[in-house]
Amino acid sequence: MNLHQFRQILVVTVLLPLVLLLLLALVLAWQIQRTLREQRRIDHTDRITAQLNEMERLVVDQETGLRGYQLTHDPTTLEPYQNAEGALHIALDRLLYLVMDDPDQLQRLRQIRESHELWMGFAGKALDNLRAGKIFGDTGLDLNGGQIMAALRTQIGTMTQIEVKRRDQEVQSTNSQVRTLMTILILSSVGTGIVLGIYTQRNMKRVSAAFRTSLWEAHERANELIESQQWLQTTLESVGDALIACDRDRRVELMNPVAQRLTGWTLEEAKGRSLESVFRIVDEETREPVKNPGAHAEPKDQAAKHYSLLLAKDDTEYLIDQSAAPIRDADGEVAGVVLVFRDVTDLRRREVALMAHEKLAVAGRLSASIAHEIHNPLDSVANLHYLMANETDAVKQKKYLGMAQQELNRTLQISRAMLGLYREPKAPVEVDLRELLESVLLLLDRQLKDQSVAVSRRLGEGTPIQGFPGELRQVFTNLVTNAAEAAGPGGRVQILLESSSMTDTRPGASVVITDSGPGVAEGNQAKLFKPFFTTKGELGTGLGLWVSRGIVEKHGGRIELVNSTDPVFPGAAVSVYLPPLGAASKMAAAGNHPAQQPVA
Amino acid sequence: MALSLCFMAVVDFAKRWRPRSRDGITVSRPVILCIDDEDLGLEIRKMVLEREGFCVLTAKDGVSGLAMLDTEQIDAVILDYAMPGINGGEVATIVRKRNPEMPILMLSAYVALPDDVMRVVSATATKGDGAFTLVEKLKEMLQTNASDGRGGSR
Repeated sequence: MNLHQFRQILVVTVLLPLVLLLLLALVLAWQIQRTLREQRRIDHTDRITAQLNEMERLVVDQETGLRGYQLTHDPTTLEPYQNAEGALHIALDRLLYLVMDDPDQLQRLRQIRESHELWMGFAGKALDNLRAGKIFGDTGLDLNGGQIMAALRTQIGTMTQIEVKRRDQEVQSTNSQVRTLMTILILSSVGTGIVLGIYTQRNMKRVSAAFRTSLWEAHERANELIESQQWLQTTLESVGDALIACDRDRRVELMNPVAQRLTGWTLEEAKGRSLESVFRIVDEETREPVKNPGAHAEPKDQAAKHYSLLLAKDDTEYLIDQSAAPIRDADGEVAGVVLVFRDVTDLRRREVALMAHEKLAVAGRLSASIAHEIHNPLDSVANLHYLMANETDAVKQKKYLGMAQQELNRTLQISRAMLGLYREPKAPVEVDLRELLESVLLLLDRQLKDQSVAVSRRLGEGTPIQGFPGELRQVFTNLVTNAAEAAGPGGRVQILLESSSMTDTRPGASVVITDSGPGVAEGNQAKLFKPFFTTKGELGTGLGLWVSRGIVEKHGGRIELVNSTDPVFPGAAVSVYLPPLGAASKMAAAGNHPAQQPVA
Repeated sequence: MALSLCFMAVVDFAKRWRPRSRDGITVSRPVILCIDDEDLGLEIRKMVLEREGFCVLTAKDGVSGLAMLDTEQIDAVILDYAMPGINGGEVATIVRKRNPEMPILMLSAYVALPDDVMRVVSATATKGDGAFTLVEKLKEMLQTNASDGRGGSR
């Protein structure tokens, strides 16, 4: 039941009794009207009866007066006779008026009037006789007068009787009407009562049912709210990541147990404090305080993740990975901020281990072809030694020695390049990228030959850069190996070194390695830089590009992978940009980065 | 490239040209074909073998080596395993198909060679074993071949 229905019911509940009572009142009024009309009719009959009685009395008075005069001759006795005469006229007129609407009674009244006039004629004669001195009356005349009087009185009696009977009828009718009225009154009262009762009860039931439902729903909702709150609470407490929620003024409102453990603040202590005082973070490398943690709520590039150091209440340091998101209210207004962070100290240790592992793996993968490369000149030296042992010709000896020197130089060159993969200066040094690339290609020469991959190189005068040569060797070894594998047997790889400005105003060095392979599938381009993503199946660790990216970014450079538009080298094009000497001054000190730790 | 190879082959041919007796009176020197992609190593190996009395032909890759096998009278082949293009193992398989009797010495820096290669070749030597070992193995191989008329000391 909704509010509209409820209102309808209320209106009907009020209006229905009103309407019913009004109907009842109308019926009553009508009945009362009828009864009153009957009553008036009874009154009318009563008046007629009264007038008839009055007339009879007057007639009797006249007759009595006349007899008395006849007997005594005393004129005083004649007074009632004379008085009645006038009154009789008035009575007759009144009666005429009263029975005007009743033709039968009117007829009777006229007969009465005629009879009375007839009697008056007799009475006049009798009086004349008496005045003339006839003491003894004319008996015939008297008899006639008596007859007339008798008839007159009979007529009056009849008329009276009719009126009386009519009155009885009217009284009866009135009574029956009153009874009907009472019946109707009782019946309609009972009916109205029943109708109202039933209707009200029905509606009451509906309303009460609706009320019960609403009450139950409200109860349920309250329960659900409590449950969902508890559920949220449990969820927050069970989440493995640390979580801090703040209001719009960046004051701590909520911290889950992980956040409390990492920051060293309990929720009771931290509540209402500013976020900065509870969540103190500094830059991992510069150790400069990070201002407004969570202010930059936009998601950062996943691969370029920069960790921060969280300083706990007791100054314990945790390496954390953090992200923030604004909390919006129903109107979309920022109502606060939620910070999610997690202890990545172990993760970092694992990354360090992985990078060290990858560094060794690069050398390991090269070892077979390097062994071959060293074995070849050594074999030559052994052969020359054999020749020299039996040679007496000084010219030939000199020639053999020259050849042996040549082969030894090559061996040294290779072993130096090999060592360059491991040995690393403590601080960044000036690096000649052209020399570095040449030495990388020297190490890879055998492998590339085995793979039948032709490498063309255009190594221009690259801007000198600053960095860790061993790490950069690792990067380019990786990239050239990848390119050769992508190009496949008979394929081609091109290596370009030139000055490039990319984003900086001062031009740095740019190395672009392009292959003739099939290129990289669109969806894989971003994934390639993630750890453990490999397109080489069992043959790859999926770490090469991830580590390379880490190294290049540490050098303040950038690494990008796109599909080449060059028709000769249609495969993938990996470009590495390294900033010029001096620009990478913010580079981390040696040993701070996992890839730099001495592993040889 | 092909032109220079041809030129080298001609030079080699001129170097080793000698009157040859068809009736076997004059003892001819065995002709060895060396295939290796290492220039200097190949040259030094040639000098060692020539001092030991062999006639040496050289080829810088499998394809030109196989071409020489077709045109020249060759008694044994010394193959480098790791070479660009077709590797030593593939060259050996082709040689063996054409001539089941041909002694083949596989020279390699790799300690372990694939089994199918080991089955095909007559002998193996590791680079760096020294000239003495190489010459010994070569001679042994040629001897075995001459005695049982079939290529393969192992």
